[in-house]
Amino acid sequence: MNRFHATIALGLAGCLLFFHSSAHAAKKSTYKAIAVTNGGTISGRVTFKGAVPTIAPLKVPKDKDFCGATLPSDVLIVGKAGGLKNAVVSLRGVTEGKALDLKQAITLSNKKCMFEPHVVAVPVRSKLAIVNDDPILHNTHSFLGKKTIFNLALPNKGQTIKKRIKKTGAMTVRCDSHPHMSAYVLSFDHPYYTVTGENGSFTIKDIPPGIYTVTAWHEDWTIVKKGKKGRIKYGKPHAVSKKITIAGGKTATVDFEFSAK
Amino acid sequence: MSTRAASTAYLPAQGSWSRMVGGATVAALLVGCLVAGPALAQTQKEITPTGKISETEQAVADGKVIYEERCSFCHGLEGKGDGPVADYLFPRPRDFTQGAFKLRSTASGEPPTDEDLYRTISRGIPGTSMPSWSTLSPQERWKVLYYVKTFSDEFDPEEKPEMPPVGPNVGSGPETIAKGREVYEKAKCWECHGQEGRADGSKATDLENDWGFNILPANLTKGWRYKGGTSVGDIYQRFTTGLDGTPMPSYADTFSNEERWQLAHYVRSLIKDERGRGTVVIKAAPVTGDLPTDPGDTLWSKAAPVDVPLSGQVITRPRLQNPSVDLLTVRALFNEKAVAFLLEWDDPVRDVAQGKAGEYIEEARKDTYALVRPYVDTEIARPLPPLRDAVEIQFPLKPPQGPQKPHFLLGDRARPVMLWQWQADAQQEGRTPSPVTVMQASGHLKPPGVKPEAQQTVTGRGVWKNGRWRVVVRRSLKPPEGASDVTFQPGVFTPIAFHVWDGSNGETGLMMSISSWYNLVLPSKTPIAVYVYTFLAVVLSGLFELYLVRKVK
Repeated sequence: MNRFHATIALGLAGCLLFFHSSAHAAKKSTYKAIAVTNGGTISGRVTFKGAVPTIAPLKVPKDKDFCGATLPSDVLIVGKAGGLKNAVVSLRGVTEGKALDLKQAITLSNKKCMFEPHVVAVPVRSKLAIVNDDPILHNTHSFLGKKTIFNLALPNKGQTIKKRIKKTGAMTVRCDSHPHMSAYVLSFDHPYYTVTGENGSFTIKDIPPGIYTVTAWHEDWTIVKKGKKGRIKYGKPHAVSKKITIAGGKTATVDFEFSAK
Repeated sequence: MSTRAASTAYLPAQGSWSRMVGGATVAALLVGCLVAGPALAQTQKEITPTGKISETEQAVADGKVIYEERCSFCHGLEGKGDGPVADYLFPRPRDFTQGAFKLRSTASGEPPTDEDLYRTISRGIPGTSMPSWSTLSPQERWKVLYYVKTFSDEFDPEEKPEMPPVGPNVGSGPETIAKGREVYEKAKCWECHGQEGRADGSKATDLENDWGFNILPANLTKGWRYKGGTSVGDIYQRFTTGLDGTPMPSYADTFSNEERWQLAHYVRSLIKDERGRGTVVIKAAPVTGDLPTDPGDTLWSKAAPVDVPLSGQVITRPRLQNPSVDLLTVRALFNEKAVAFLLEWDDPVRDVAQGKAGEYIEEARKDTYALVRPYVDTEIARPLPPLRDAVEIQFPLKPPQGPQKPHFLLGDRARPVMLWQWQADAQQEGRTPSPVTVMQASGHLKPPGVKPEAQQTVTGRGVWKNGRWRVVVRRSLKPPEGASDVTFQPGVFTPIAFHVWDGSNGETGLMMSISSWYNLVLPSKTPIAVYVYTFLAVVLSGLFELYLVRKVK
């Protein structure tokens, strides 16, 4: 039993490391678009097992008149029957499949002093629309590791800036004006990814038959450090991977579990 | 040939040479950072890259040789910003492996162009230890920058960096500047940079750079602190592209080209010219009637302002290598009874409280917004905030006989100095008799002694607004009866020096900004006799010459 746990722990640690390092490697994509006929589907749920930790509300250090003194934290949202929102499920190491849809409109809004949505997944080379819905100055500052990917000024309500995402990986997003705000933008060089909704369920379609690794990713929710200025540092994101065989025209079911430990 | 031989005669033997070079480099760099202040102020022209050579393997190889000779001491052999002197520099040298560069013409997050790097190498970075490499030939500059590019894979030869939308200058003039001010409002520049550009905005002290260190916005009135040049074009480029690695975002897609040029013209207009540069004499202006007590009094316009450059106190421990205040503007007025000084300096945070003395803990180092460096005497922990803002005037106790003045840092045992210290917290608490404390010091080894109450007759009043302190300090020309303090006599030069503390920068005690000695003079009215006697002398000598001429004939 103990050995079993140790194996899982090692495996998870391995995945985590793998994912973390891959986030920094901005390698040239080798993904090839082909016509997929008789593709398979993956569906399942991402759930949170066990007692859900209570995450303290975010303290708003600036513009309290508009934002309010505190805002509910959005780093861990568990819905009905343990469904985990904002997890990103994706295939790993896909070399060919359906073409990326670079025209889709994907938006990251600054809304009521929070990023909305909190987790965005985009195909690489597509344009992300960054919007300010608030009448106050926000700056949307994204990082891959410590490297700035973009830092855009949105001083007024209704402003939109479209920014091409040129690298793959999990980018953190913050607002220097409002240290409590945080978001993630995950960028992929293939179209086989999705962000889970309220109930944690997901579906990925049109996968060429074969054996794949499917990964569920979720940001960390444990506070590593509370900055003096109200910026909270969380741990490294979690990733759980599973091997799966996709058969043409069939649906494979795979579920993922995250827990407080 | 002979001069060369003579100069090499001073060199040490071969063996110790390399060690000497290392030591000399450190020393030169340290001196370099200490003087990097207003002293570097000069009109910076836009730099036009010339003589570009192609990026061949040979050019990169040549660049490596130049890099290792000239750049690696700070930036490290592997470009990680970890050279042997990196720990002594503030800000730290750039780590090239991350590919993050502040000064670019490219879009936010993109690597700079070759020309951008050429400009930075040629200009240097004011306010930092990065000097201008105008000593390198253009070819050498291209070579070295090609080598610098090899440290990061951000420089992809197959992918051209994305450029922000730019356009032609919209012209200049008061109208453009006025429109630029509107853009400054709309762009909310003031939230960080302050209403008057003095970095005192409400969000100014909440910012972090990409490496998690606290960072302050730029004071836009100080031209010598502009990292990327002070031409309108440079400024236009800075907020068009943003400064990667800092919270300063790109406004490329936020405002039209016209608006961005207008803003550039406005920001350029905020840069204040230094006044009284090169002078060491503060000339007090005579006033008939009462001297002003308020810093906002219009009478002050009668006095010629002198900008006194300040540097951190690094003569003795605890040293201050990252002073907040690098310039103090001084004006003086006098009447037949008293003298008054107006002291003005930029300080983004108003600190009007003082914690208990002796509350020193290591943790406090992290609390100050200042960019506390590890080399600031690590064994001396920074005092706990809150710490007060303060300003101090220093005079010799006795007028110096001959050229020997007291040591400029708090005098010496043979030649004590008087200190008039205005404290923001004392004014806030309404301390009596005055927020100015009169002290006497005989060197920096012992703390200054506070004079008895009968001698505390210096008055003062300070006002802080939009990131600037304006403090008036006054006293009678003569010290009170029986007290030993400086006496001001018209026509006599009195040495005068200044000290400033910024509390939220962790400054207290010897950790302060200091000036060298200046001279205060109260011009005396030339008595009518001087003119009469001169006239008489001319007439008499003329008559005498006539007499001589006659006699000889």
